Amino acid sequence: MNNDTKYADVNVRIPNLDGDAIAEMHTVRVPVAVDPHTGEEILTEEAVGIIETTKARYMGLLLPAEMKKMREQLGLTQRRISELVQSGEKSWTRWESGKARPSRMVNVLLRLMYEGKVFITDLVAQRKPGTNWRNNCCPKMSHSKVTVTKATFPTPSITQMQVCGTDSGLSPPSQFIYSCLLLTISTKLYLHPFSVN
Amino acid sequence: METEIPQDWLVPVLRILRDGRFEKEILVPTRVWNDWEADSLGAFLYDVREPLIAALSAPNVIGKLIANQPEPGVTYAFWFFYRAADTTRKFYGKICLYDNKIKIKLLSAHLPNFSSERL
Repeated sequence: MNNDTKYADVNVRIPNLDGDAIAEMHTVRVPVAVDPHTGEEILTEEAVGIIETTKARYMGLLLPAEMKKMREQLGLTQRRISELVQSGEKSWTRWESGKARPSRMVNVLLRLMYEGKVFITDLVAQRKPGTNWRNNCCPKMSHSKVTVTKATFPTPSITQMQVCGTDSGLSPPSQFIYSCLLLTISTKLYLHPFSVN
Repeated sequence: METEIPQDWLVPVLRILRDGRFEKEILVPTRVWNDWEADSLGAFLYDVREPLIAALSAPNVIGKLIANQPEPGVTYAFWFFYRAADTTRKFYGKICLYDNKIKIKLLSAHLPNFSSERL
């Protein structure tokens, strides 16, 4: 590759929440190198960074640098934080290095942590054997069936989330994430009561 | 014609796909990025690594040796699979392993175009 760097406009497509269509498209100008053998424009490392960051921003994903910053500010090792969010250390390392990204559902939890709405103590509490998340939430939520209708989440798919206790059909990791989300909701309920069926 | 892809091509390519950096060891033309992102319905660029690794890690991988490429290296085309939105799609992949065996160029990563691309 020669040093002949120029700029090119590339499209960045943002998938919808279901991931089965493109919701929006943006054009960004990125530095590209020129392949001396073919004359083709080749994405530079900086270009890849710009593209991936743009996509992550529009998707509302926490960036790798933000994950690292959050972990360091919390004073946690990669191993410890991966234990707390139950992701596996390899996954966390790959998220921080930008080689992979968490699912959108996990991302909601990470954003809540990043914004200081879920604390380490909440996560530690979820690690205790026999934790019943319904008892961790407000009394209104200790029904066998709770429907949250007006929670303000970044993803519309969760705004009308139904959590049905033990017969929810959710996998344990999903139950864990939902429990953290509900913990946040319960706090909001005390501050800003709204209807919960 | 399809042939079994030799190990002396597969081993360095897999190593680079796992550990290589974009631009340094993995060259991606802008047209390949556009094809991949459009056909994968908005996937990230790094999402292309795992399905390529999975396809090339399978036993007795079949591919087609592509002759007369301008790049100084050996090029194989092969199929790989990418799952998005609960649907697994078959993709056409083409990679050139440069003669120095420390660099690859991703030449294709898109849904098959049956008019011109068959293994």
